[in-house]
Amino acid sequence: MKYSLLSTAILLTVSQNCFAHSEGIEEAVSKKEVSRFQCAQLAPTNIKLEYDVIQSDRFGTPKASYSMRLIKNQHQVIYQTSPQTFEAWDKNGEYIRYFPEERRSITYRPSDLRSLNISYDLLQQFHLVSPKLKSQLERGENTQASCFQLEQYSGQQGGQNLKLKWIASLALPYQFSITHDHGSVHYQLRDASPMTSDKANTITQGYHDLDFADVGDSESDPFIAKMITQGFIQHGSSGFYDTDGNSLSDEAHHGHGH
Amino acid sequence: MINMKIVAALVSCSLVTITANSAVLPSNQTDSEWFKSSALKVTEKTQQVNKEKAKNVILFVGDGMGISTLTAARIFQGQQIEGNMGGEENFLSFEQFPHTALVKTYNTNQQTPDSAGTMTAMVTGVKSKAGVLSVSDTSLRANCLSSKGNELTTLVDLANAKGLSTGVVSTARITHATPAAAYSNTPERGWEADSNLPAEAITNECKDIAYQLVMRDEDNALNVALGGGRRNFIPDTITDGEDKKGRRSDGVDLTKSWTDNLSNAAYVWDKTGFDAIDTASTDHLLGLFNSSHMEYEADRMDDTAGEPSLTEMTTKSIDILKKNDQGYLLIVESGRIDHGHHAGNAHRALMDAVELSNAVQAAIDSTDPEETLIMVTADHSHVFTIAGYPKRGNPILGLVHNVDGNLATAKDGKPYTTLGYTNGPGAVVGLRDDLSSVDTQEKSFKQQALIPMGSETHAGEDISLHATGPGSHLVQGVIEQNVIFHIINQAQSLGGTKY
Repeated sequence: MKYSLLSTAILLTVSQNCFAHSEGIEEAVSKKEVSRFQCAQLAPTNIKLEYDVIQSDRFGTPKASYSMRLIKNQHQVIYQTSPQTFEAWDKNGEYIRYFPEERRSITYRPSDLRSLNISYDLLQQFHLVSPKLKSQLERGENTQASCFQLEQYSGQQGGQNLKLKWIASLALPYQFSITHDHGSVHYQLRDASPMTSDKANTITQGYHDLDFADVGDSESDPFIAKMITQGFIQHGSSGFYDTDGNSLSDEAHHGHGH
Repeated sequence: MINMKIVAALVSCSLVTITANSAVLPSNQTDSEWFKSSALKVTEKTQQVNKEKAKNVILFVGDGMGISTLTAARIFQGQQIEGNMGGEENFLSFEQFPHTALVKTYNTNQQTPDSAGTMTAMVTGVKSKAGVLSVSDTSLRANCLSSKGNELTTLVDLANAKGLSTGVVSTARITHATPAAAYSNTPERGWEADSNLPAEAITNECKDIAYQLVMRDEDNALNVALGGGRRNFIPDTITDGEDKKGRRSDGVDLTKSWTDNLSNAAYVWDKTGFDAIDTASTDHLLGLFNSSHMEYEADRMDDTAGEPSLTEMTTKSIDILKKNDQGYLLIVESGRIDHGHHAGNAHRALMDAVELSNAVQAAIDSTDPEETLIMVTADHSHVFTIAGYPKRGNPILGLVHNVDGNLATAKDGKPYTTLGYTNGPGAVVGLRDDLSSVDTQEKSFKQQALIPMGSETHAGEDISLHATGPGSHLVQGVIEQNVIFHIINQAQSLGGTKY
């Protein structure tokens, strides 16, 4: 099984052999913008982080880049990668997809995810890199970046080369690269600041929420109807879709691809 | 005298005919177990005695439990029985009932129905439109004012008025459409908590469904209400025992109202509390075991605080209701068969259907057949199919193997499953997955489908109604769904009309 970093919009099935290329990307990313870390106030929870994400082809040429915001409090972790939608996982294993423009959200309970044949690693959602995966990588020398002491790891997993710089004090990555036959994806922490739980909660307040289990009985709701009828345009769709009814990547949610 | 002679002659001729016909049948036919068991079945039917009046009525509703679901569930269950002969020979508990009818399910505005309109038909005797609960179809959906004066009296209202005990049980939210039609009148099934009410509904004083469940006069109160949907009963400022917030914005804790307003009342929210209930001293039991729907039977053991099974909820309900010497009306819904199908996940749907069969069996075991009418039906079907030519005993969730044992393949050269859906999330645009190395019997396998849709849909064909006990002989033929109300009304003399 290929290791896939987190959810939908984030996961990339990119390629190729080349650690050298991805190191080039790392340098490029590092020079992109000045990092901002409010080091003295940072804790593993009640924190907001920004990652730069760069996808490259198998020749190491950057093809796409975007920012990923991650907000954690004690109960949930929120991922924002686009203005159209964002998503959250709570510690009970519920996945909630938010559609800000419509002020609507869809909650997938763990049994809903299972009924859709979607498996997930909740610890991975909360730490970007699962502890299980990290334990399978080879530990390297410690290093320092800004105010963070970093643990370095590297190794192979399912035909992919993985390279990780880990902030143990936050239990989150500072840098993470996945490289395989089709390209690579690189994550670089750009910004980290504290965020109170109350402030984090305001992000998800005021949404009209619907259980995924109720979607099938809500065909008269125009928003739901759009997703039901337009929602699955990709092979083996998973049940995750955006506001235009486009299915999101199946592989991002499948622990075993069928 | 002459007439008597004619009758005697006819009887005599008829016996001679039977004997003569029997005599010409070869022994390899008459000695067949198929022949003998089916002959016995007919003999039993000739000795059937119909009783008219039922003291108690239990109506089971499998949400989305179409006939293909029954067939698949009976094989699924049968294949798990040790020493089975393939599984196809099995019967679900209620499939042994003596009386059966086919039921037309359409809503007044939809060829393929939803649960709100169908359950309204069953509990009021009046078909209505999709989305509305026990209001007539002259109401506009989601318009409070238009529903005023169009409320329909339900079986629960009639039973309470007669002094019977009443109960509603569901594995869905107890405020979900099917159970809610039994005790509430609302032009919008989605108005489960007060926070779901739009301004027009508040202005015109429509009440949310949870409120209508709890705030009934004691004379018209439910004695038992068990299911999910806790969030609709508790304020949004409260976090429940499973760490989920309430959805009431009026600040009212309806679980407290239940225990405050009703005599010998109890509220429970987990399996431990449920098990601890003393049915002898409890006359009003509210059990809300999940913030939303209760878990699928397949996942029930994974629930945070623990949930009772549908069987356990049914027997506990009967124990409370049967204390009333005048009788009771109990409505039990298996709510998540529908959800399993919507997800395109047959395994979960079938496990819930089998659990419904278990609950019916428990009801049979807990009641006197001379005084209790038990009916089992569905609200609507799903686009769920049993296809191909699998050999006898082929795993119902498996790939089709032909009678010669070889894996059957489609025109694309790939194998296919017996069970599938006409539409839903299992559909593929482009090339179909090769299932050769996939465990299609795994609990979370998503069956392949034809039309790509985010959620599999209901289907419009007839569903079945099975009945046993006093009044069950009224269940026959092809009937409109609203006839179910009238059968219960007649059998239990609820006074809704005269026949």
